Amino acid sequence: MTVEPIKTDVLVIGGGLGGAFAAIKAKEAGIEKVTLVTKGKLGKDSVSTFAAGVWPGFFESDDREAAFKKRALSEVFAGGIYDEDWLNAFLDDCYDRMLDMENWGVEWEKTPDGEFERRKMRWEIHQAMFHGHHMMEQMARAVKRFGIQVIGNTMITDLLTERGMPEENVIGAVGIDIRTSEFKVFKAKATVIATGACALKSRFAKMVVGEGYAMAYRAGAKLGRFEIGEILQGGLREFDSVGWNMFVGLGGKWVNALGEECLLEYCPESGKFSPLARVAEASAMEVRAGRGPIYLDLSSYKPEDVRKLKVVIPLVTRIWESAGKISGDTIAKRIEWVNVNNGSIAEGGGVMTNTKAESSIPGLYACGDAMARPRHACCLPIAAVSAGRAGIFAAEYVKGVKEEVDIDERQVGELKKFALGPLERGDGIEPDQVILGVQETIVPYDVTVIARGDRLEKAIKEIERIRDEEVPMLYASDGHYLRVAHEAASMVLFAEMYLKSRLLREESRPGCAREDFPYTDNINWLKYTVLKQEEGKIKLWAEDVPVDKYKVKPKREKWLYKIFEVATKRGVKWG
Amino acid sequence: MGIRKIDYVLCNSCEICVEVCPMDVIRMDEKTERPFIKYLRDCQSCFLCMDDCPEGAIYVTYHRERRLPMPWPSQ
Repeated sequence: MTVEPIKTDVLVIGGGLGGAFAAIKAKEAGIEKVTLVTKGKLGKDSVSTFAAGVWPGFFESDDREAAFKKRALSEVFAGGIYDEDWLNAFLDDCYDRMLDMENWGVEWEKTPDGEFERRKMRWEIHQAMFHGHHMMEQMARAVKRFGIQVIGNTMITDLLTERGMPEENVIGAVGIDIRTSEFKVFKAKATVIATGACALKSRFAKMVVGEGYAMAYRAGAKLGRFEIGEILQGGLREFDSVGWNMFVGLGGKWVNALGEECLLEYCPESGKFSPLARVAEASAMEVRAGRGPIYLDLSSYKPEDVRKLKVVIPLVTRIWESAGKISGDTIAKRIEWVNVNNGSIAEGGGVMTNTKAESSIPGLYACGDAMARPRHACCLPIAAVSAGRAGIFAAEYVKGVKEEVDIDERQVGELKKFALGPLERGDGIEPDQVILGVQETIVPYDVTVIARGDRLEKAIKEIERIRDEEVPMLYASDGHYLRVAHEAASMVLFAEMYLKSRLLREESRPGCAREDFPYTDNINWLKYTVLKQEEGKIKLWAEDVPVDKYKVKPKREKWLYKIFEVATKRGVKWG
Repeated sequence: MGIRKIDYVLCNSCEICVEVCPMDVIRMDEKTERPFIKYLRDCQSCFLCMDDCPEGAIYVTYHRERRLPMPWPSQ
């Protein structure tokens, strides 16, 4: 063996809320050696660090039956596409994970009598609030207190499998030190992917690029649900920002150029608290009709609202201050809003798992944005719930591993060649070319917000061209660019998975509107898309959601998706 | 534009900015033992380095360093 492996029982890949939870829960379950590998410094290098301070969770005191029905059936979620097992798991665990966080030092906004302060926000869920990036600082400290080995500045590029064969038990991973380009090998009894989403290098999420999806895909795992979710999220034209829940929860609203709050029409179920996918679709229709730009109207804000923003999303308010949009306790009356595509952050596709967070390959677990999330549970609460389960069940699996399996040296050699490839090429395409190519293909609103088959096909062709012509030519001059080169390649694979899944789903629902299939079709499309690698290509299919076995059953109906119905009324052309 | 300046009059070479940058933008110069902006293009204007700098030595701007394609053109 040319590289001495770092040996551990549970290997956790990723340093966000999911990674921290998985590692701690594995340790709590009695596993001696838990190792967490992250690309930068734990607590600072994840999307959770830049989370918008809100927690759309379920609370012990909430009405469980009502919450279940809403999350299962409402068009504010996915209108009947749901996962009964995961929804129950979510409702079972969510509040306990929140209390775990509080016990480990995470600070929440509280009412004067000590209760969690909650405000009505997106999905009309009453959400709790924590203190922005300090949450992950507190989680990082907890990880250290639990005696977990943390290895930073390391990017995992691939998984190791028994005998080096796809779909065989996962027995570790390989990666690179982004400072020194050193190739590293990790030998583990169980591995948890907590690498987050692919956010297409938008806003403060440029570190999550779907490398977890890529490594699971190459190891032969099943992935899916890429087309379903809030993949079309919000942003500002002028600068990067997050915090839509907060901005709306404190009284902001979306208006078109005429000042009309027309989203109340497009999204009557939840008005301004609509899922961002619906907001993005409605905005795109208004822009198409010549009633753009769209604004986030903050004219109702009072000084105490601005002060609340500063507590819950402190880094976001820093950038607003830098741009001259917040000064003291006053805020701009309005700001131009666009739906910057944030990939699979918060909701969307990933590694398919059961409620033990087990993937289709033994020894491999996935959680948070790295796993295929059911549409009805999202953001940090599902990350905490799924990661808690990943840690607990990975620990259980490790206890059952009797014999140590040798790493396949041929596989290590091949993966080393792949990992260091862009560095050793000597010349080629810089990662920016590929990153921009993916963004230019996927971001235009008529490709992914209001899609149509012909436009999706054209985008797929372009992504395949980038995959075949540019990715093999990616060049890195040092460890830093080696990281970015692998990130760019992961983005290309994600774009292909996403666009092909969108094309397969021949219907419309929040986050996957199609002009050529404008009906929400609960007769034929109560299905999830699933994919895996077969002979080097994406094999993609649709699997029925077993709703007939569920207690709460969606009606087998078909209706014109609200966005198209309202667009017609408002004189917007589509088709 | 992203991060624009590390003020060496104020900087105490504590290396916190190098550690906390999620995008690996800042590195230490071994000879001068000072941090420097090495990979500006990857700065995401998240303000973490500026927020964590104990000496107030870092200046970050809100301008995107990389061009980000928009879903529709400016109206």
